[in-house]
Amino acid sequence: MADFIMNDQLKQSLHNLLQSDDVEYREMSSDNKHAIIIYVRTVCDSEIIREFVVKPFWEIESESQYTQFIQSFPESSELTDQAGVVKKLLQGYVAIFLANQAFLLDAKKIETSSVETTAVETTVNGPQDKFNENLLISINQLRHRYKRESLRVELKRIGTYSQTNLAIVYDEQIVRKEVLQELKQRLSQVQPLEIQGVAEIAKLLNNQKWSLVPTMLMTERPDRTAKKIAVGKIVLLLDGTSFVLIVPATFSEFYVSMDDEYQLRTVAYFLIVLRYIGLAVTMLLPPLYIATVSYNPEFFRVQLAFSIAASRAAVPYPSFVEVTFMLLMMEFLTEASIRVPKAVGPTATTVGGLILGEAATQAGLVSQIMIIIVAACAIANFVIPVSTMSLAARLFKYPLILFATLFGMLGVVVGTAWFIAYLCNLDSFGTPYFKFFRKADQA
Amino acid sequence: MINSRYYCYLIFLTMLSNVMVLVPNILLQHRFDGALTSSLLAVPISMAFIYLFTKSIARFPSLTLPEILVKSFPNWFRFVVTLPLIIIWFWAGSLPLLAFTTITKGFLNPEMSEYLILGIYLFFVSYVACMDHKKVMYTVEAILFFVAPIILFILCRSIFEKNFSWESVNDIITHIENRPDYDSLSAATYIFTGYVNMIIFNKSVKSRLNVWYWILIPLVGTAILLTSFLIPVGLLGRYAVTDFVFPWVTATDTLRLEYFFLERVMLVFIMLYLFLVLLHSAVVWHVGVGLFKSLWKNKQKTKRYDFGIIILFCMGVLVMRKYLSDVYMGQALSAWFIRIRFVVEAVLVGTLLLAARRQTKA
Repeated sequence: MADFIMNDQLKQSLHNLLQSDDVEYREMSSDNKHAIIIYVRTVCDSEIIREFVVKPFWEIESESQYTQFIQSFPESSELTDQAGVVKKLLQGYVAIFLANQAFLLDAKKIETSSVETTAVETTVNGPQDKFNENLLISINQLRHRYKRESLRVELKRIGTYSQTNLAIVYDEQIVRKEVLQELKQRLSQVQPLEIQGVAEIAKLLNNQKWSLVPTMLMTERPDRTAKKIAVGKIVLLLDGTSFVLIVPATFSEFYVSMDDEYQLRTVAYFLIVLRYIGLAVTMLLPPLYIATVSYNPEFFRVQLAFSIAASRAAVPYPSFVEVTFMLLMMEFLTEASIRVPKAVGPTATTVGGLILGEAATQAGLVSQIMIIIVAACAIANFVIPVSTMSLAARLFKYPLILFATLFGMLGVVVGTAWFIAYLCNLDSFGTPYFKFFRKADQA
Repeated sequence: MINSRYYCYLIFLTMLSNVMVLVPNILLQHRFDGALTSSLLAVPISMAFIYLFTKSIARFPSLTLPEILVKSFPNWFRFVVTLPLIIIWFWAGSLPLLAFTTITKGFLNPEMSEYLILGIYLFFVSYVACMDHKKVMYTVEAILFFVAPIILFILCRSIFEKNFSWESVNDIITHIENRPDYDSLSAATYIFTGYVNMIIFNKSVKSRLNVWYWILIPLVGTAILLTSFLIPVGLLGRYAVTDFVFPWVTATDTLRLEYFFLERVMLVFIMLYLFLVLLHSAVVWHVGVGLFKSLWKNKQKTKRYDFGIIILFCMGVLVMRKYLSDVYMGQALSAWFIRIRFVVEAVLVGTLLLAARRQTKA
């Protein structure tokens, strides 16, 4: 048989590769010929394989003719370099082992038409493709960005009714075994009726029912995913959605945009610092406004305190009512501009902008400074690059506003300290969620 | 086991959080006697304590003090040591909280009930004290990371204040020939006392300090000790400084930030110290809870026990607040606490040393 072509090393590496569920190993034998074909289903075009490898095998009589047939393709080559086989397979070649010869045939499938550009996590310089809603295409995209033989794809079905395909993808050599173990254990414990989006899995896997921050990273970018696999994280891909889930995730990962990787180092650091300042602004500005206006106006220098007081002169109620009212308006506006059909989109912004901008101040409902604060708060919120965190950050300020309303400046301090402690108390699959100098500790 | 820098954070946290509340009052009262001499003497004494403590506890990796006691001494001895320690640790966490409640009421929220203020402090302290050892340490690191640089800025800013009276400071320095006294010495050593929290944190923090930390700790300690004591003298004057109930708060109120949208440093300073004092109390109570839990042997030590003990502690503070009718009583109590603590600390280090000896012989 083909044994003389496959040496032990090749067998070993093929055996490793076959651990992955998307690797196909087929033996075919008719009266006078015998063949083994091996290929990675998610990177190869099965149409090509069916038409030009499998069908001819049954139609052509003798093996020598079949060999000649295979050789006639410009994409085919004789397999000589045994060490390179696995690499070629991962690139989308199909390996055909015959009695005393072996061939590699290029059957690469690249989905170009159906792959769309990123919609949620946009970058300036980086790759623009996003994952596809077809699971196999998504794995194909991932395989093209990560061609290491230790990449494992495990296919599962989740949802009693929906029977949705779920792929667990990781690099076997660098993945943390205990995380994988825990993930699988938690996955086996949940039995949802149906699953439509990957965020639902995140919700099911989360130990905490009322969590304020996302502890699993959701992304639509293949490049980000490949980078995370390369540092030993696990990716969950779900059929029917273009978002994937990466575990474990840490707080700082939600503040990295893929653009940071493609910029100058200095620029990247500047942008990251900017985002954290954005988080601080969106979280702290409204509560600080309440605390300073209603409890400690002496906090500001006197000119500023006077101008705030003057701007508030027409406002007939305490600051927390003003803040709550304005933030509510802002949330309506944000929510409306996400949900409205594209055709009526401009209406929401125009009407909302008018209300928030001039009319509310002229009517004496809110102060002008409050408008600036709400605007800053809303803009700073969307500086956070990962949408799940950005949406969660919309929520952070409300507990702090409550603290500030009840206790003033004191409440802001205690609330912030509590929030930091809350973040430190979380972990994502055994990895501390919020921790400084992580790299120094690993060394 | 997590990096030994967390051990250092424990020391620095105690150093920073005590600049303001307990220590300076005692040192300032003795400013014309032995305060300066005692402060300088406190550095080698404390360093010796830290050295002996670190060397001894390093023999018991990932064991808490009660576990060490069980290992090296008869069972009854465990209670003799642990019970007084629980009281000391409860005291160490509650006194700064009470003092800071008075400060907040006086300077930040004059219209709010002290019980309400104390209540919100206790909320945070209880939350953190019930967390896991490691998580507490991460919180300490995170908050120190934000707060410490600003505090350092303000401390530097106060030294370069143009109305800083170096003459008053020089006058105090001339009293260096006075003999040290016990009160000042115990107050000054309190600055360094953060290391004792390792009796519980040893469970998950590495206790070996490398050379840099051995250089850094005495340097920072001396600087903070002198700062804590001399900056109020320089800003308020050598005689007037004891006229104030909280000399540090009043001293920072003499500072102005001319080119910023905030003007009074005091409010910022109180807010930053609020972070540190709350964190310090939380860490101390976390140790207190750990000691308390070790009293009875129960395999299933759930969160519920922690909460129970913390609620007990909170009730204790509220009762203390009820019976401390004025600030001076609180300060007298703090003075007694600091005196007693010094002895307890020495006994604790001695016990550990003995335990380590027995460990080596065995």
